[in-house]
Amino acid sequence: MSAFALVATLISARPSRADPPPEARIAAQQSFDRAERAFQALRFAEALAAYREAAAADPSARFVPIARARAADLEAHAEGDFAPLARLSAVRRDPIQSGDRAVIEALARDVTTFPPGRVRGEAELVIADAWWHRLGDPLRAVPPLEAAIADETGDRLTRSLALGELVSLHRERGDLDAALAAADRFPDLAPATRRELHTLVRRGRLRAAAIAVLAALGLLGLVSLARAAPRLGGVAELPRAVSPPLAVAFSLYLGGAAAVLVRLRGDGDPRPFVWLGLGVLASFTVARAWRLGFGNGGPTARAARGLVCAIGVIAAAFLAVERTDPSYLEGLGL
Amino acid sequence: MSAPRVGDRLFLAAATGLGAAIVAYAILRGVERAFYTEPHPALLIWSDRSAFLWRAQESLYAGGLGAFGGYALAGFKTRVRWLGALIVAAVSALLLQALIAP
Repeated sequence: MSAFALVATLISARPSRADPPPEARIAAQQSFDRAERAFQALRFAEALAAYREAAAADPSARFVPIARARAADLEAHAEGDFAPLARLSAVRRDPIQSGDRAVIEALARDVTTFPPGRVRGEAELVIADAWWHRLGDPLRAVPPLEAAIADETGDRLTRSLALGELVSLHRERGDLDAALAAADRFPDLAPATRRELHTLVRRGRLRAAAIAVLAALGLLGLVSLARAAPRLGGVAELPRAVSPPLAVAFSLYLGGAAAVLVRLRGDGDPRPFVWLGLGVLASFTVARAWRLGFGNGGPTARAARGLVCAIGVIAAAFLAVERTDPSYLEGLGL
Repeated sequence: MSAPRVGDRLFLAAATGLGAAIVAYAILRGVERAFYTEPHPALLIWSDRSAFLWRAQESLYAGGLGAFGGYALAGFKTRVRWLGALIVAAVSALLLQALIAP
C-alpha cells in the first residue's frame, strides 16, 4: 500500500505535457506580444521569427493557433524579404491612403517591380478596388484585375476573386460579351460563373431573336390590316374580323386559368402565363389579318402562315418567361 | 353538309374536353411516376399539396384547352371522326395508366 502511494506521489509530482514550466509560458507570451507589435509596425520578418518562437516555447498556449496561422500567412507572403508586403499593407490598412488617387497610382507603379508571388496579385486587387469603388473609375480597374488573374504565381483564391470582380465589373457596365470572354480565358478559375455567363449570353441571343420575330410579325400584321381594311368595308370592321370571340376566349383561358392555377399553388409567378395568353392572341390576330389582307392561298401558304405564327407564339412564350421570371427557363435548360 | 348548330358544337366541345382531360391525366401520372417520386401516402398525415389534386386540376385545365379545340373543329363542315379517335385514345390511356402507374 505504501509503495502504491509512493508511485502515485511521484507521478503527480511530474510536470504534465499540458502544463509547461511557468517561465516557458511567460517567454511564449512575451514572444507573441512582440510578434503582434512587429506585425502592426510592418516589421514582418521580425514578426515571423517571434511567432515561431512563441509557438515553440509553449505549444499548449491558447494563442499558439493564432501564432501558427499568422506565421504560415507571413511565410506565404515573404517574397522580396517582405518589402512588397510592407508596401501593400501600408496602403491597405489606411482607409485614407487606399482612397487617394496619387497613392494608388504610386502603388500601381511599384507593383511592376514586385517579385513573383502572392503579394503582387493582392496588390493588383487593392488597386482595382480603389479605382472601381473608391475613386469611381471602373475602367481603370480592368488592367489590374486582368494582371491579377493572369499572374500564375499568385494565390488561386486571389485569382478567382479577381476574375469574379472583373466579370461583375463588365456586367455592371452591360458588357456581357466582355465578361464571358474573361471567364472563357480562364475556364478553371470560376467554372460556376462561366456556366452562368454562357446561360445569360444564350438567353440574350434568344431574346434578340424573339424580339426580331415579334417585330417582323407586328409589321406584317400592320401591313395586312392596311390591305384588309378596304376589303372589309373600313377600319371599324377590323377588330371583329381579326379577333373573333372564340380566339379571345381561348387566349383569356390559356393565360388566365393558368395564372389562377399558379396562384392556387402559391409558389409561382403567374405573370408569364398572362403574357403568354396575350402573345397567343396577338399571334392569332396577325394570322387572321394576314389571311384577310393577302388571301387564304393554297395549302403551302396556309402551312407557312401557321408555321410563322407558331414561331411567333414560341417567341412570345420565351419573352413572357424571360422578362418576368427567368427561373422557369432553368428547368428547360435555357 | 350543313354547318353544325351551336348546341351541337358545345356538346362536341364538352366531349373533346373530357377526352383531353383524361389523356392529360394519364400523361401527367406517367411522367410523374417516371421522373418524380412522391412519398408514400401512408407516411403523410395530411398534405395541402396533394399530388392527385394537382394532377386533377392540371388535367381539367388541359381539358379546357381541348374543349376550345373541339369547339373550333366542330365548326368545320366535316364529319366528326376525330372524336371517336379521341375517345379510343382516352380509354386506352386510362387503362394503361391504371395498369402501369396506378
